[in-house]
Amino acid sequence: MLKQRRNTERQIALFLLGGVMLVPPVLVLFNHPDRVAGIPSLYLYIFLVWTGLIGFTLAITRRMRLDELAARENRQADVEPLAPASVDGHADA
Amino acid sequence: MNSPAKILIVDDEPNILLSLKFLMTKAGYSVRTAKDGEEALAEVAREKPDLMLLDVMMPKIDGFTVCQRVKSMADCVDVRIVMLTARGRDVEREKGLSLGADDYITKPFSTKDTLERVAGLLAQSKAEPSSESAAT
Amino acid sequence: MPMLSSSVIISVSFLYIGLLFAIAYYCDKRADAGRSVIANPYVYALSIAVYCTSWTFFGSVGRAATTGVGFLPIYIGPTLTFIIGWMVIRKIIRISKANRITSIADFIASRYGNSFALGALVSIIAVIGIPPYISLQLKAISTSFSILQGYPSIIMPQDVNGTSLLHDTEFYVTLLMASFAIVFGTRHIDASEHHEGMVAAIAFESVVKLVAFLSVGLFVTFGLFNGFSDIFARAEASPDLKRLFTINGISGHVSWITLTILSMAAIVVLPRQFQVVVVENIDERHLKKAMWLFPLYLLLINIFVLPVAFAGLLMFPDGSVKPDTFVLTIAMKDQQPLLALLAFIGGLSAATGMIIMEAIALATMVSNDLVMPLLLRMDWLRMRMRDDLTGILLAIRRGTILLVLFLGYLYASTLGTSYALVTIGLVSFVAVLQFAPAIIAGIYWKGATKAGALAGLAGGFALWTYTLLLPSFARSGWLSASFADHGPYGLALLKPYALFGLEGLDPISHATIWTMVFNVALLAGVSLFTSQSMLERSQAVHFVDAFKQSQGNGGEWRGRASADELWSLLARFLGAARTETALARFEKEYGRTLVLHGPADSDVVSFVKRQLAGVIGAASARIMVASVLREEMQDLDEVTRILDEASQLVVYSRRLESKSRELEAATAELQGANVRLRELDKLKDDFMATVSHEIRTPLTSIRSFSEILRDNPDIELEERQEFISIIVLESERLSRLINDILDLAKMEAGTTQWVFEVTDPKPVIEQALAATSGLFAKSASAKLRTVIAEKLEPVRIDRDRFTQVIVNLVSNAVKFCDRDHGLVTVKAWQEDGLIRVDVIDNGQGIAAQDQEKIFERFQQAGNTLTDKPQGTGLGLPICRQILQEFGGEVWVTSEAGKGAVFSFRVPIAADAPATAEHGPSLAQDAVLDAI
Repeated sequence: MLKQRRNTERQIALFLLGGVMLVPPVLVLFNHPDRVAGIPSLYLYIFLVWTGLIGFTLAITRRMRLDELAARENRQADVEPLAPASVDGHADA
Repeated sequence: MNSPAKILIVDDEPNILLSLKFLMTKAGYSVRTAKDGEEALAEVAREKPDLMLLDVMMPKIDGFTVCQRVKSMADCVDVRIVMLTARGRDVEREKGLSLGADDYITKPFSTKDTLERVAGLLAQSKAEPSSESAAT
Repeated sequence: MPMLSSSVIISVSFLYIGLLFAIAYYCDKRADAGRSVIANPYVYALSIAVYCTSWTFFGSVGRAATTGVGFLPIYIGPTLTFIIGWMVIRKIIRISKANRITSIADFIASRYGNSFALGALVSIIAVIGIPPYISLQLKAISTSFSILQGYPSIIMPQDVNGTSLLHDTEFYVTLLMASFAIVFGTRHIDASEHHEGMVAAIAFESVVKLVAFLSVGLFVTFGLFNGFSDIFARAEASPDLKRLFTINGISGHVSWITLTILSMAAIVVLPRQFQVVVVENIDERHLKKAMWLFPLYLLLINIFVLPVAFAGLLMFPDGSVKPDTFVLTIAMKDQQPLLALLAFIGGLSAATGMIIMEAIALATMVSNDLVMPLLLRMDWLRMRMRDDLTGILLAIRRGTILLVLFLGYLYASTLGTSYALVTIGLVSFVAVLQFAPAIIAGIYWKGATKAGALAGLAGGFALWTYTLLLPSFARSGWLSASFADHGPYGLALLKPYALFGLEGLDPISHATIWTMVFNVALLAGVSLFTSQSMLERSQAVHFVDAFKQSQGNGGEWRGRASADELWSLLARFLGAARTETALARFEKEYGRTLVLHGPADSDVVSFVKRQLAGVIGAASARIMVASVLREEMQDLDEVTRILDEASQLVVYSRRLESKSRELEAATAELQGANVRLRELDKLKDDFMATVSHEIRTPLTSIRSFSEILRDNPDIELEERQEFISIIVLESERLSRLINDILDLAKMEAGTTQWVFEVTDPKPVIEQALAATSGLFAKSASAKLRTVIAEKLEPVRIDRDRFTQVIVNLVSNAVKFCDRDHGLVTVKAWQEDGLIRVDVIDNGQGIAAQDQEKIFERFQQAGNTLTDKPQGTGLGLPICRQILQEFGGEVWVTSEAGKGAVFSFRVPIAADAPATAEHGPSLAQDAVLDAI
């Protein structure tokens, strides 16, 4: 339960971070026509932050799944078999 | 011995009054009687007795009240008061004594005992004035 | 160089669509066989990518060519939403599964107490708001088709005067899409079942459009140019293009923010998105993968938008080619017919995916939340009576699909030409954005009411109509153009694009701001001032606390409740008779007899739930059943709220109220009794003291005089005589007293032996009076006068006791009568079936306050008077006891100073109640009365 809440908190934090970074006024900081590595700074910035957000989301969901698996193993000792393991579980394994 | 001690007997039962009067007179005291509280206070005011035999349950003014009033009269502090009661409860005894009564006799009483107590109290009060003045 | 004739393009298109049919068909078959293809998080994530329509495929490049990064918020918004998808989207999925939600209209209606009005309003908004979006897809297909068939020359459609051709294309596409949607979208009646084939086809289309776009992007970036830097470097050289590197002006920033918000909502509230994200979701765990996979898809499909846009701008500097077509025309310009064809197919897949999904979502919505409820309300249709509504339902759905697509076609052929692709799409976005406040408030704020949701939706939709729809009519010439430019009747404050003076924003941002301001304000404001119905409240709790409720869909309870318990629960709400009927119905429906003992199976549970839902609403029913199933009630708040409202409870609380009133009364009574007991206790004490006093007094005299006589043998004879007689008198007094006390005690205890006989009272009275003659003889003055009626009816009495009463009263009268001229009068007569006797004296009388007291023990009036009269103080209490035993009564009337009248009466024998036989019990009562 505690871990679940932790993951929820992480998601909210990431959401707020993304919300702040991809919206003015933070966005304005990169709003100039110079190019960085050949790409306009604003474009580069947005795509980098975007990729970062997706990466962190992936990390969080992976962690959620690990926590769940651990919890399930703990539970399995005294509880009847649960629904078949999630498909994403197989896919990732 | 000078003049005999003056005793005032107060009771609303005429027969009890009669028997006490006979006993006290026989013992040589000067006896007056009253048949209720009002009369008793009037008698005290008329002439201060040395000792009162005072019944508790009386019409108009009860014995306790009489006792209290007598004791609160300036010159009657040294009047000895013996309460008579037919109720015979400790509470009443306590109440009587706290109001300044000197003794407490329960009806029906022994005549001999009553006479002894009266004599004892009167002897005590005769000795006391000197000791009291010595104390003060 | 191969030509791209119409026939080639059409053949390829049909091949593609045929492939879609095949995929859908195959997947449906697989699903029927129980081997689902779409039970897979990747398919789920790809199906969500139906979000990327031809608007993305062609339109993003178009928007990028005019605003630079301005197209990106449309994809950043969903990315943000998906980061918190596990909380928000999963909650919506959870709720929807629990309630068998079939559409977004259903969701909102269900949240606000299954409100028909809300469901209908949402459906109507969707049906009005979505067709522009569909028209956009049609337009994209027809335009791209028209351009592609011009290959190798690049001719913009309007240049060849091909309007009719365009419309024809649109028309055929419409028909094709409609047939596809009808075939795969309306196979099942149960809309909450999954359209597996559809979803698989959509997912496939997502792959196609991504591959197509990436192919074009890679070709442009690395084939035509030398990578990203090259394109951007060349663009930098042109000031016009360099301007696109940045967001320009306040309006650009405001637009960025509003588009982000708009798209954050759109990813869930667009009807087709709700369909794929929520309704078609098979396993909420799939969402976990989609949370990053779908944003990744969005990122990938957008990477090459800017390079392609700049490439197009660089390659067609004269502006002859519309940026919306760059994806297609760049490939054509470079003589790449296959790539162009691929781009066309990509656009086609983006468009068809959207059209099909949107049509199905709208069809479900319209049939379930608008048309069916209306039909069911029309009693004359007798819809409720029909056993099978399947046909009607399917007809409605199919009709709706045709209608919606036709509306889209109409919009495209009449209005569509006046807008760029993206703008048309955004008009729809703003329309469906109106659903967002009702949904978000619905799942996070229990206080949001139906009235609030209705007001918010209606207000927001009205403003959308005013700020976006009407101006688009104006631009198309349906309304006067001055309406859009100068406001109605020239009122500048009401200009649709600058409402209340909000100038300088693009129409979409402007409309987003105003609709949201009104929508949210109305929703919150009205909610705060309206109340919820019971059903609404229970649904609100149900929705908001979705995660707190037990997760099982019915599997967890198995074996934990007996069928018996469930039926008795049902009986509580339906009553015994209706429960019997329900039982019969169950057995008929399931074709088996119900075993009442033993665990309930899922059939019983769901049947009982349904029956209950019909009475108390679905949510309440669920909770009631859950309580019997001993499912953990995690939220007490929920239960209390439900119970709070349940009408049953109102009855209970009323009963409780009256019970507590009774209890109060009982408490007061008890307190009274307690006080009375304490009084009695005190009375007992007083009584003992009084008895003690009364006995000791004569005893004192006896003892004193005895001792005097003993100790004084010399007393004179006369005195001795007097003393002895006193002793004798006092002894008599004592024994009289003891007799009286014993007498009264026995009477009160009920142990007195009564000797009743029916007798003429006259001789008894006369004898009693004769017995009192001694009293008069002793008294000097008192005289007796008797007035006794000639004839008295016989009474049922104990003679001795009767005599005792008269002697007591007469001796009292003698005692208290005038000392000098004493007169005692005894009267006896008959009245109203009673014998009445009055004993009258001419003494001082008895004060009013003492008149009742004197009948109590030892309460002689004399006690407070000057002279103490003789007597035990028990005579009158004894008289009262005796007369009560006779069934009569005794009382006194007196005026102070005018003597007293003691009266008593006893009933005449014929009428005498037979109370005497069970005297003891009455006597017991009498004890209480006496004390």
